[in-house]
Parts: sequence; C-alpha cells; structure tokens
Amino acid sequence: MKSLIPFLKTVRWQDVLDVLINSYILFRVYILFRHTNAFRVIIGIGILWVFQKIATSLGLVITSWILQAVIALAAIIIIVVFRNELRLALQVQNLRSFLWGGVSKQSYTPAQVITDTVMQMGKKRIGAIIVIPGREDISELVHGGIPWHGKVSQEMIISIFWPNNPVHDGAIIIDGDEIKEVAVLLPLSQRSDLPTFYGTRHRAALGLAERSDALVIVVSEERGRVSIAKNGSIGAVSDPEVLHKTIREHVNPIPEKRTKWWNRTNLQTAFAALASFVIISGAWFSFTRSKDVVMSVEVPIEFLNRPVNYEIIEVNPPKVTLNLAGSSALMKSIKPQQIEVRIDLRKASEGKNLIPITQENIFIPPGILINRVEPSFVEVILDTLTSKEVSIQVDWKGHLDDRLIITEVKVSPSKLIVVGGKSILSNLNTLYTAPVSLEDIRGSGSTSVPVIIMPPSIKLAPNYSDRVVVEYTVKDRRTMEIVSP
Amino acid sequence: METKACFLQGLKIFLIGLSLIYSFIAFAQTGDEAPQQIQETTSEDNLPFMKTGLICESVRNGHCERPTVVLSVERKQAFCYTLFENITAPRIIYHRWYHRGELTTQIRLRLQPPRWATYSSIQLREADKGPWQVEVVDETGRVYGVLRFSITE
Repeated sequence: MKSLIPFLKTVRWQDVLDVLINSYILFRVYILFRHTNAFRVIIGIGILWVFQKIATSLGLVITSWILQAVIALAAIIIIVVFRNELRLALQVQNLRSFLWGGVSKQSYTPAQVITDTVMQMGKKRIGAIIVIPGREDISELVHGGIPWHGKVSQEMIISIFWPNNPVHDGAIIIDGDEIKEVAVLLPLSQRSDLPTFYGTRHRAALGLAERSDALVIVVSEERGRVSIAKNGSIGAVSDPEVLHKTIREHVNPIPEKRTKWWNRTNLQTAFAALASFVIISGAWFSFTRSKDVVMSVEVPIEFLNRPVNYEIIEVNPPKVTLNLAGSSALMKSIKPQQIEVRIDLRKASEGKNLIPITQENIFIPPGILINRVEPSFVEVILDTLTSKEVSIQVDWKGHLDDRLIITEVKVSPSKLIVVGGKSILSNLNTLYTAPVSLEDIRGSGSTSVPVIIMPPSIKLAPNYSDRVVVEYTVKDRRTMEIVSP
Repeated sequence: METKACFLQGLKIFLIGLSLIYSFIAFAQTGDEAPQQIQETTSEDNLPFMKTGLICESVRNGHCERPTVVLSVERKQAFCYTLFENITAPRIIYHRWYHRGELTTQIRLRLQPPRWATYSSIQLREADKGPWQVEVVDETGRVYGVLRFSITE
C-alpha cells in the first residue's frame, strides 16, 4: 500500500485517459467481431505472436522467423478472406451504433412462419433444406443458387420444395423475411461418423454448419423428421417450441425481454470490458513503466526569451547528455527531435550565468524517465556586442635551419577589427595566424596566411579579410653582428 | 662601542662601493642604438620612453646578442632586452611574459636616470612552444611596448 500511493502520484490524467480510450477501442473491436470467423483467426494470430516472442527469447531463430512470416501472411489473409465479415462488422447505421451499439440483424425473420412450415412439411414428408445465415458471409461457401427474392410465407416455402418443382432440389436461403435464393448447393460434410440414415441433405446441412455460423434446417423426405444443423453439429428437433426458440435466438429479430442484468450475455460483455482494460493497462505499464533500456543522448540546448540588449556570446557546454531509461519499444521509437532541452533566459544578466538544468527544462516523450543529466549546469555568457582592434601575430611552427635567424617580421595588416562580446574582447589583444612552417625558409620572403578567429564567439568586422601577408627578414647567423646598444 | 662604530663605518664604505659598481654596470649597459626589433614607446616629456625592445638569444656584458623573432626551444633561454631614455628618477618597470595570451611570469626591474638598459629572461621547456608576447609596463600600468616572438622546435 505504501508503494502504491507514490506510484499513483506519478500517473498523469493523460495516462488515465490513454488507457481508457484504448481499452474502449479494444472492447469495441471485440463487440463488433466477436462472433465472426475473422475474430477467431485474430485470436489465433495473437497466440502465434506470443509463441513467436517466446521463440525469439529462447533464441529459436528459424521458428521465430517462420512464425513471423506466418503472422504477416495471416494478417493479409484476414483482410482478403474475411473482407465481407469485416465490412459487415464495420457497416453501421450511425456513429452512435459504431461507438456503443452491438451488431445485430436489422431485418425481421418470421421464426414462427418458418417453424410452422417446417413442421407441416415434416408431417407431409416433403423434403426441404433451409439456410438462415448468421453474421458470417456464406457467399463463398455456397454456389449454384437462383435468385428468388420472395416474401417468406408457408405457401411459398412449401411450393418451392414441392416434389417435381424445378427448384425443389437444393437449399433456400432466407435473409430477413425474404427468400433470397433457391436451388442452392451447399458444401457436404466429410464426417464419417454420421448415422447411415442421414442422406445428402443432412450432409449438406452439416457441411455448411461446420464452415459457418449459419443455421440450417433439414426436413427428411423419408422419415419426415426435422433436424437442425448449427456450429458443426446436427440433431433432430421434434418440439416446435424448441425449433421456434432456436430460430429466434439465431436471428434475434426483436430484443429479448429483459431478464436479470447478470445474464450470461451481460456477464460475457462485462468480462470482455474488464479484460480489455487489463490488457491495455498491462500494455501501458510495460510501455511506460518498464526501464529495461537505458540510453544516453546528446541534446543541443535551446534558449528562449533572451533579453533584447544582449547577445549569447558563449554557451558551455552547448550540448547536454541525458541518460534516459524506458521500455525498449518506446526507446526504439524515440526520435531526436522529440527530446529538447530549453532554457529560459528571462532572468539572465550580463556576463556569466550559471543556469541549472532541471526536469522543467527537459522535454521528452511521455513514459521515458531521466536518470541523469550531465552536466547539471550550463554556463551562458551574455554580453553587449562591441568591436576592438587586435594585433596579429605569426604562429611559427617547425624548426628553422640552425644557420639562419629571423630578425624581423612584418604582418600586413598588423591589426584587424573584431566584433564580439564586451567581456570577451576586454581580454583579447592578439589573434594568431594559422601555423607558418619554418622548415622551407632559406631566406627572406613573404607569405599569405589566414588568421584564426578565436574564440568562436567573435567575428571579423565587415570588410576585413581573414588573410594577412607575412614578410620576414632572414639573416645568416655567422655573419650577424652582436647588437650592442 | 668601538667595534660598533667600526662596523658602521665598514657598512658605509660597502654601500658607497656598491653604488659605484651599480652605476658602472648601468653605464656599460647603455651605449649606441641597437637594431630595433619592435619600438613602441611613449614620448611624453616627463616620462621615460623605451627606445629599444628586443628578444635576444642571449645577453652578454650588457649586450643583446642575435636579436630574433623566432627562438628554438633548444636555446634553453630567451631574453627580453629593453633600453629606456629620458629617465628623470629611479623607476620600476615590469617585463610581463605571456604565452598565447596567458601571463606566465612577471619580472620586476629597476631603471636609473638618465638612460638605462635592462633585461629579463626565462628558461625554455618543450611546453613553451608557441607564440609569446612580452609586455613592458611600469607600476602604474602604462604600457611602453609589446615584443612578439615564437618559441619553436
């Protein structure tokens, strides 16, 4: 409990909102896709992903690689194969139903008419097979149908399946209160454990029930028995009430009479909501609270609100090193421009300012922690700009021939004007040329060399060249007189 | 008592002798004008001015030997020689030796009227390579001149 309170203090309102939004999105995805084959495949992909992570952590290179390929392929397959289901799930009437409502059939299927008709056909030994699709699209599973588009009625159904009727072979598909297609061929079940008295109609009914969530009603021509195939199983129904209830639950045309709030559906939904929250909270925790990766980044310092009278003459150091910690996923996704160190110069004064670098100066993406800042202070020199004339001196390098001696050097121009901060220039009297080698000097001469402008915060006044001409006088040491002033 | 008087008499003679020797050296150090490496002087009437300022390889018997602007570190020593004129009263000057603009040493020297030559020197080490300046100033901070040279390999 003692550790929980400090933890809760670190949670921002943005974090709470973040978790709630994503939990709700996950929950809605579940609600929209829960009864579809696509959802089952998504769960399968999720399991594969877990296995792939385990394989990677165990160092199973080939397994991990194959699983990764399968997951990538499966993701494409979901979109291609289940495009109709995805479309159905996402086809909503309005934003409200997308955000809050469930997916249900909008049309009314006359369950009682179908029940009465089927029972009557059983008595009259009229063979029939009726398909009532669920949420999954069955257009890829069936073939050979003839469009019908007739209103569902007892007479219509009986007449379709009436012996010797040209369309009495095959199944009919009922969509809402409409017979959509007749003479439809269904895929046959390959099961070998079916009773011998099950004919082709039963195998066809079971074949479709195995491959989709459709409800298939079969009326046996020989025995007059009514069977229902759903979710991969088939069984006889003798009670019309049971048949009616099964059809009604399948099509769910009218909201059921409210029962107790803790009914199975509500409990499932509540569990899904809780699971969504737990999953997203876990993901958030692993993303933002994990510190498994530590990284050092060098960040340039930005300065804000510089007083108008002053120039920034020098910043030491110009960059700070931030030692960051966070989850590997967050650390990998971090971009240099997302990390900033900003210092407000509003209160800075002329001269040297030693400014501490605190958490308030550092801007990093949420979920990343700062372990250390190096250095913890930055030195900023503010100054008014001024100009100064400075002498130029030759920086000789190397070794002059021992027989020679340089007695005089003239630099043209001997002075240059530089612009910089007042305090910097007050201590600056000389600028040096780039190194001039003595190795090749054999006699008097001249050379043109650049002037090194140091420190970098200063610059040459306009119209001044950074090159000077160095004229030197060389004498032979042996012939040189001793000066006696 | 007698011993004390004798000691004071001896001290007096010693001081007179010392001042005579000092004057002789000063006289010996002044003479004809040397080749001027850098001459940055003040010419106000009542103030001394630096007539000659030189960096030399050596100073022997009050003479600057081989004035130069580039000295090898192998020479082990660098000398700054200055000659002042128009000295009206004894005065203190300083030779401030700067290596790349950083003050490394400051040597206090005395000037005697009316003309006086004096010098200072530093020992050279490997770390001393680079450009140098010797700033010649008095006690008030007045700059008489800046001599520039380099220590090389």
